[in-house]
Amino acid sequence: MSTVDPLSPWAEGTEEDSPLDRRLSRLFAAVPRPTPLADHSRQRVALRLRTGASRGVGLMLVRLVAVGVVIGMAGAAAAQWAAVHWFGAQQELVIRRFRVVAAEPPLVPQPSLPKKPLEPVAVERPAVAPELAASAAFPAPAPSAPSSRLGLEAASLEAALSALKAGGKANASRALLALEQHLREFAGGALELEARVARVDALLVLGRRQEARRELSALPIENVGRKSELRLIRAELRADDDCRAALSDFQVLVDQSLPAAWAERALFGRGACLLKLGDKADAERDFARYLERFPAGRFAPQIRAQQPQ
Amino acid sequence: MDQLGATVSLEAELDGKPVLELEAIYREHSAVVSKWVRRLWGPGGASGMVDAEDLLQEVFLVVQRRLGSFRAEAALTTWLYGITVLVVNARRKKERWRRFLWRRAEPELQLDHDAATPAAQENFERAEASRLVYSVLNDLSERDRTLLILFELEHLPGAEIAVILGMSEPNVWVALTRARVRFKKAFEHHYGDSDAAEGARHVDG
Repeated sequence: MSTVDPLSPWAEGTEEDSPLDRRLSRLFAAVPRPTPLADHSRQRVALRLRTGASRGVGLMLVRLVAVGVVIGMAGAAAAQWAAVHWFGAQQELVIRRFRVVAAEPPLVPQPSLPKKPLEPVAVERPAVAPELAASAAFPAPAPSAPSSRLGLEAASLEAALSALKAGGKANASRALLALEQHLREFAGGALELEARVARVDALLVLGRRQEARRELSALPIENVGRKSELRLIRAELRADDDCRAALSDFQVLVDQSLPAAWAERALFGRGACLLKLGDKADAERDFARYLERFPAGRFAPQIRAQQPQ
Repeated sequence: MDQLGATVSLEAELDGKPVLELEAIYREHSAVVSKWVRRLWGPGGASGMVDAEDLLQEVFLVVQRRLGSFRAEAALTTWLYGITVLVVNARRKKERWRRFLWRRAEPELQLDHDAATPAAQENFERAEASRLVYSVLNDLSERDRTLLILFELEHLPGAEIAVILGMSEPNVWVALTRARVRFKKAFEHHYGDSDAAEGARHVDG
């Protein structure tokens, strides 16, 4: 590399300068000196240095979140589109079935104890007024238009269940009509089982026990989420005139771990049916067990009143 | 150059050895480093995605990382200036890529750091001079640009520039001479005689 004498800045200028040099000299001399950052700006930087915070990192995070949101929204939109256009039926099936199965109304049917003396008598008239299957789990029908046959089926069922949920016999009648129309319209539909269960509920509210019983007997209750409850109702209905059939249901229920209110009814129902079938010893054992477990139970006064003094 | 080469005493004692403390360095030098940042970035540097605060923080983050390796062979301010040059040039490189990738326009040049100049006319002329000079500097290589800024605008001595840029002093003069030639060519190419004369006339007043 060749050697060069030290230079002096353009801004200082020399006599030998060319016109361009002189222009540049004036230009460079006119460039202002920068001012330092204001105190508050430098204090902000000092704080960031102390805390390890970085505005750049913050911005980057904001950008990453924004990108994530955009990707997420795009993905959700694509998934929704695909669900409607490719997998519409199956997707909605899962959602709707879940909703129907999630409805777990408390039981109401209950047998009463035969009159004194203790004789095998029919387990009488469970005063059935099931609280409605579709309580909180069934919101009002969605405002959006259903996009498939399954969507229509679900909307129709939801409308019927909303009427049932409203309570009272008048609403139950309307619900029953709606359910029967639904079952005709969507015969063999994906939600048929749920509609038939709801029909049982409506029939019980209306006191149409025999129809409810027939429907329940025909239902594959093993496939329904409310199977213990439905089995108990079925047993109590069967106990009217078929204690053998009822006994098998009560037996299953007594062996299960159930909520106390259901367990109480199952134990009392089995005792009553055993009594009706002439198995007095086993019946008395069930009643004794009942009194032991539920001394203040709803059937305790009846049992005590009819026991031999 | 106001503080360059100044003796600094910012040492704490640790096991009998002097230890530089970041806070003390920041307290003492952040103002002048922020001026260097603005000088090296140029007008308009505080616009867009880059601002002087970010760059100042980056400089002192590097200072923090390298503090242990600082040897008192050079003045602390020279060492700081070297770091500032590296940080600003690295950020300029990044910004160039960003502009290339996102097709962002070059930030409009504005002399934001001299807004406080009292006379508006003088302010305008100085702003115009700054715009002309930096518009040409920005077309040069980083090395030429940095050399010209350090020498022509900051008026640093050759020996200081040599330390900052890691060159020998004779090489500084050679490189500076070549950088001047390239600057002149670029200036004439950009503005020609008439425009340059016009710009110069403004500056002459």
